[in-house]
Amino acid sequence: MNVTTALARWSRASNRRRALEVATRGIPWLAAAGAATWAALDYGGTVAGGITGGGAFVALVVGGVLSMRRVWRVPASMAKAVDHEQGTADLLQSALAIETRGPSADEPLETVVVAQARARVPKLEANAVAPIRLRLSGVGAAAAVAAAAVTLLVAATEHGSQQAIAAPVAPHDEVTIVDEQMLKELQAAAEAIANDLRASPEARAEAKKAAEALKRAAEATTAGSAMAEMSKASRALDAAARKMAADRMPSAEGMAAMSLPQLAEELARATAESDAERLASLAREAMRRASMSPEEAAALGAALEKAAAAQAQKQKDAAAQSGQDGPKGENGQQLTKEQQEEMMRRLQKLGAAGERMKAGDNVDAEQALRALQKLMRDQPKGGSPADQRQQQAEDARRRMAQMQAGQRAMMNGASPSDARAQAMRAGSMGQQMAGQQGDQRGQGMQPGQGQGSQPGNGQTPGQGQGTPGNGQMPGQGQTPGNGQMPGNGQAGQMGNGQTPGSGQVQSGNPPSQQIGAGQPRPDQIGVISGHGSAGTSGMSSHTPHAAGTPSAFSAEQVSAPAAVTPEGAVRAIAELSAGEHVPTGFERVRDHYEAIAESAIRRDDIPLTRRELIQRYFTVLRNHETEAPQ
Amino acid sequence: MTTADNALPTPLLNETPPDDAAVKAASAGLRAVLAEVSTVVLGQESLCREVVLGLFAGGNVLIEGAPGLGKTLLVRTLADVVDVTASRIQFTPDLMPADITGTQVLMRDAEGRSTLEFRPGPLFANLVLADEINRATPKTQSALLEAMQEHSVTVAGGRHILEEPFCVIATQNNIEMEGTYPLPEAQLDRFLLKVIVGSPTLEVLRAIGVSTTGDKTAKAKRVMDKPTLRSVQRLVRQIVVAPHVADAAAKLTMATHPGQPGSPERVTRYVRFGASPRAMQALLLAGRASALIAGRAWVGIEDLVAVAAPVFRHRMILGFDATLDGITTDGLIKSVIETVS
Repeated sequence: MNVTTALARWSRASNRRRALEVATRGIPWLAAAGAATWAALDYGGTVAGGITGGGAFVALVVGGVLSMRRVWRVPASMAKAVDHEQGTADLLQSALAIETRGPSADEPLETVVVAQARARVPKLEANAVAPIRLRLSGVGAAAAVAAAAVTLLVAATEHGSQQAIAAPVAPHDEVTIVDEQMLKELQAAAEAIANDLRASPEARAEAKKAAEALKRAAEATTAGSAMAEMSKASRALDAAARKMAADRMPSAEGMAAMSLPQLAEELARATAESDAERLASLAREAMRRASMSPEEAAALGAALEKAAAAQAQKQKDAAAQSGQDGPKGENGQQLTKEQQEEMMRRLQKLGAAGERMKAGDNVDAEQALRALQKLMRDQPKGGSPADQRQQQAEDARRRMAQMQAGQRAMMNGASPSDARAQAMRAGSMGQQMAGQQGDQRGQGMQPGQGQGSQPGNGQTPGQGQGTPGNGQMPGQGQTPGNGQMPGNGQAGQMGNGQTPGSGQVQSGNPPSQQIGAGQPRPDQIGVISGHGSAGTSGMSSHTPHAAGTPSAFSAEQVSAPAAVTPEGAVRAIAELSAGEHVPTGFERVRDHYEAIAESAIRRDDIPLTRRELIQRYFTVLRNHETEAPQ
Repeated sequence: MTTADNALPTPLLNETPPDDAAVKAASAGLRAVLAEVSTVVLGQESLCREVVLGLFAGGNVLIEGAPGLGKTLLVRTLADVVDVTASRIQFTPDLMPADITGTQVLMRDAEGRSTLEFRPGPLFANLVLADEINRATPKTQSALLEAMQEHSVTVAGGRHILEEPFCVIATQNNIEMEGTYPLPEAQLDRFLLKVIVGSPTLEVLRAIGVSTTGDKTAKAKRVMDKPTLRSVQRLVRQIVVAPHVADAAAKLTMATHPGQPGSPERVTRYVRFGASPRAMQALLLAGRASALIAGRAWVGIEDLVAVAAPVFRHRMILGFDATLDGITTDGLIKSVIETVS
């Protein structure tokens, strides 16, 4: 029988048997893949099921192909396997090679080999192809168990789901608005802002939109449509609040376009309303105008005096008109006698500042304006009409968010009472958060207090015993800061804070301490007093930006007696530490040692066989040495 | 010349192409030689097999072992068994090249005329025992090079062909290294095999003592004549080597080189130079002889594995690290075989 033919037949038979084995071993994995796909379809939907099923299919195919590749037989590998298993000493492989290319005439024994192989084929055939072994591996058994477990789990879950689907669902859309009273209050608040003539037209328009949306929400027939209108109202209220916040601060262009009397009048009104932030912006513009020329300063000072007096008179007239009820603030709020006296004092200070400006003493005028701002800032927050309007808008926003949370909870299945409770919780949390933010904002608005010889850098004014802060707001300290507004220092000198130094920093409120020891470079930013953006956490105002670099390090010096004549590595270390080490050429060292060894070989009683060893040692060293650069 | 009846296969003497019967007859003859040698050299079956293998492969064999292990006895017995001329050269430091190759002497004929005549040295024999070859100077050792490789000797400008079969079986003592001259690598490479003689076991030692100290000593019979030996040597070279076997031989040889693909990490670390292409020739040749001894007309990879150690043993030059770490060449060859197979 032809060896090649026999081997091809055996290969096919072997491949069939091995394929059956692989397929059998793959059954548990197929079951596991099916179970996983079913579970993915059930829990994750079609896409997840498709991905899982596709991945499992690919994994099964790849695993099957890899398994088959390990056992796949071609005639050559079949010959090798049979030779190995039946101890024929490569007879079949040799015969196959000869048969493939044909016996050579120059190799007479090739015919003998082929003949012997062909004679052996019938005897080998019985055991040539290994029988089928259907065995389940441990991992396969685990896969089968996992498939069964997943199948049971999915089946049990489907049963539960069907029961759940069959259960009747109670309708909960009978009530459309979670809290009608709150909705009415919100509508009233929005209308109040819309009707406030002191607010900007844009803010009023947004507030009007909010009021209309809230009205539509009250008239909505479903909770969903009510929720949609509430969302519109919320967005409009947000926009109105942002506009009102922006309206408080006059723009730079607007201030630049004001005439001197208008600027003075605005200053007087901000003073009367105790709006410190607005006064600060207007004061910066006023000082800029005053510094342009003495004539401009005199004119502005006169306008300021006049405006302060006019504002005071206006307040008095208002008090007289109100009769026994006393004067009212700008927002119609009843002012107490103390508040009225306080307002008059502020207007007097403004007039005094104008008087100094008119006299050409801009520095005094500036200090008077700073003192006026400080006085206004020290008052309780929220006292000014602008603060109150802002607060009113913020309250409306917060309550709107609370209302939306309740409405959302009700639409998600909560009972109206639960939804209201949830809205109350959300509201209280929001109030708490708002309170915290308010506190933080107030702390941030407060000037920092610190001690330092470097100027601070902050949006709010610094106040230090050393050099005051360098910020958008004026600093207050023993020497004035270098900021967008001039510092207000006791020494009355303008400081630029470029002098390095060390100092102790206390900044921010809540107070903290930062010890800044060192010698900062002159170009370093100085220690911060009152650093931090308004409304952010007070923690940011605690960060010292110039803790400084220690000027000197202290270390313990240890002295140890050195060896008298250090040798070898000790000498190298000693020379390296002294900066005197010159590396000794390895070649010279090796030659020196080799010469010593050679002389010892000749002189001493070293066995001949060991002499060669020593010589080879130096030969090895020489080889390595030529490879390594010296 | 007499021949043993059971060991002179007639098919070998025919000029017809060899067939299965010739292979079987040659195998039987080889086994008979082995068996006959083993009756005299007790307990050294492996040594006897490798020396016989070297002889029938047409190569030279270097035997290394301690004194008194039967190296000289083996060579003398082999010469008796195969009916070839044998000579013995005891190498000493004062041995000169002319002492082994032969020299020209002044001869005077009957008429009184003087002529230079070449007197062959002990190299002119079929089986040359170079006893303690490493005791001769390198100059004398080098005189063997041409004889071992070319089977010829050049003396005074004249080239003298050595009679076939020609085989040098050299011995060297590995413990008495005082006053020796290790063989250069070029000469080592010309030995087909390097065989290590081990110490006999207790039973073998007892048998040796009894059999060699009595009144009668064992005497080997002649079981093969010279023409048959030549026929078997030719048949060895006709044993079939399949491509996969040649591939395995090449891979085994390549794996003895440090840093080559497929070479074990130990080889890269400890070996300075691997086996030469001549080593692969020797591997296949010895493998063919091994297959013939087994009665096969083809070489299997197991034949290569069987002869790999004696073929590579003296051809791998170890580095200094191997000496320091006590690494032997045989251990490295084992790693090579494991890696390739």
